[in-house]
Amino acid sequence: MKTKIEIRNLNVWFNKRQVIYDVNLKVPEQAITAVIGPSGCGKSTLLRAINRLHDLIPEAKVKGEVLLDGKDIYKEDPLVVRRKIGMVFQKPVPFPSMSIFENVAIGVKLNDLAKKERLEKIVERSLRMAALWEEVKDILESPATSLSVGQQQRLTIARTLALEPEVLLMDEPTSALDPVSMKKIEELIVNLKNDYTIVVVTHDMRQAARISDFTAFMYEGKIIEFNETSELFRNPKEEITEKYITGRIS
Amino acid sequence: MNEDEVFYLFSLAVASISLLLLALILVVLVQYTLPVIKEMGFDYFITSSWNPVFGKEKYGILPYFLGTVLTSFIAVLVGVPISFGIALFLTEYSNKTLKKYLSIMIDLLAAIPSVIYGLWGFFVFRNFILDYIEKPLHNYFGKISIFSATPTGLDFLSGGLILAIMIIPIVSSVTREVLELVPTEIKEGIYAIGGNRYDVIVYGSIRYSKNGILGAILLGLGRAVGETMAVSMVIGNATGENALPRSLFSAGQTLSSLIANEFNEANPTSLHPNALVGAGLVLLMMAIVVNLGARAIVSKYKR
Ligand SMILES: Nc1ncnc2c1ncn2[C@@H]1O[C@H](COP(=O)(O)OP(=O)(O)OP(=O)(O)O)[C@@H](O)[C@H]1O
Ligand SMILES: [Mg+2]
Repeated sequence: MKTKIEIRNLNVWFNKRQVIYDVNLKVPEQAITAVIGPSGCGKSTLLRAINRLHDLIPEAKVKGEVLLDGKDIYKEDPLVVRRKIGMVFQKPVPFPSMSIFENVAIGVKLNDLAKKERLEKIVERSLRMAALWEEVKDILESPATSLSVGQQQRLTIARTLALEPEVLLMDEPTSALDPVSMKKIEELIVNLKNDYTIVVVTHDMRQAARISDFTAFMYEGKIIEFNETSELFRNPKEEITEKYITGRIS
Repeated sequence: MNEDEVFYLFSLAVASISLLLLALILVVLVQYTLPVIKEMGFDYFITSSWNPVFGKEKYGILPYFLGTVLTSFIAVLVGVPISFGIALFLTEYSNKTLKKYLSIMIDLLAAIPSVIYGLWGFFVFRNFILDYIEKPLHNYFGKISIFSATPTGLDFLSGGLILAIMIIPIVSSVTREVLELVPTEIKEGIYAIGGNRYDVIVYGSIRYSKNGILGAILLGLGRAVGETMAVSMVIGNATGENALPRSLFSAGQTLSSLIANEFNEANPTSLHPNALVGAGLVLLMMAIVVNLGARAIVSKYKR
């Protein structure tokens, strides 16, 4: 399988406190890679390093390389990087005072990627991919805040997809949602893998087992084990991995 | 009666007292104003002659009402963008240390007594305004009526600009507070779709906090409307027809500066004190409207 993102010797510090240690990881193209591990082990920090969100935090320092198709994203324009590598956060927060339509269209507008006429097509396509179109097609002009939380999460996925990214990063995308919405988003993620390379951080090992093709287990800032998901859960090579997946550490 | 009920009654009593006080003040103001309205009729509100000389008495507060509106308008026009810039700089651009010290300094501006602003305005600031703002504007654009009067530095513009400075602390600190409430998720969300800092400010921060910002502006306006001392020291204190705001550079008067300037020498047997109290009543109404508006907006925003 082709590697889409290669992380090489990645280290991250916050105010001199190191939270990511020498991480190396090859994320395969058009597959779902799950990142699991106990709370505070650095999953979000790792994910945010992949689209340069740490640039915005003065106390954060990143060292190492993140190659997208062989090119180091830390040597490119961060705005372009973030467009190619989309990010969906744990808590869906629609953009303020914008309609559903505008929430999806805003990224395309900001980046001057399309003319007005095409915008409508892009919005519809993105909402369809995010499995939200049928529910909102008649209320596109309503404020996005009127949607349920589960719908809002699909909306944030749609707004990310509107930019036609190559990679989708998701940081616990279902942990704020009810079971029904969670199931919808999981189906959606699985459907998206034909077109995208997806990295999902999750607390929920069963979710990782359900949807991912590969799984990385992180512990105290390091990647302890990376393997095909079925293999990692069936035959963990490291003792600590086994302890985690059997619930003996959390 | 248990503790809860005692506390409830106590708070109720205190709250009623403040309401009662406001009502009492209003009643007294109205009572004092009635005689002059009886004499002048509605002209009291819409004419400009002002003559306290016994036997020739005439009172019209239109110029001072307009003066208050004009100076407050200048204050908001000039003070709000500056405050806004400060608030944005502090929340979005500066680092933590800089932010801490700058915020303290700006809040200190609010602690300066207004008479000090007035002194500084009279001795320093107005000369600056005169030489660098008014004279050039008058020389180049003197044909336009708002710049037509010969500048002296003691006029509506000076009054408005002093007010602009005086509202900066409240407007910038409230704006800063509401900007700080913008969820990180919104800001990062905009960065994550390829937005830059400008996009984050325009589409995230400002949109999210627009009600709060509007409230901050109204709070500043409330301060400007009621401010007395500093304005009365730089506005030129004209009365009657002369006080009508014909030009930014003409001497004028606001409702509050009028009261401060004249209440001391008003003859108690004439209608002069009543006319001044009436000015106070109008001022109070304006202040109440602006403040209620501000509070309604801010509280709706905080929810
Ligand atoms: N902005 C920040 N400033 C300082 N420390 C931070 C910052 N963000 C994260 N950290 C620290 O880095 C470590 C890793 O945090 P991170 O959020 O990556 O963990 P996580 O694995 O995502 O945890 P969770 O499962 O709870 O989301 C934690 O100890 C956290 O306190
Ligand atoms: Mg996390």
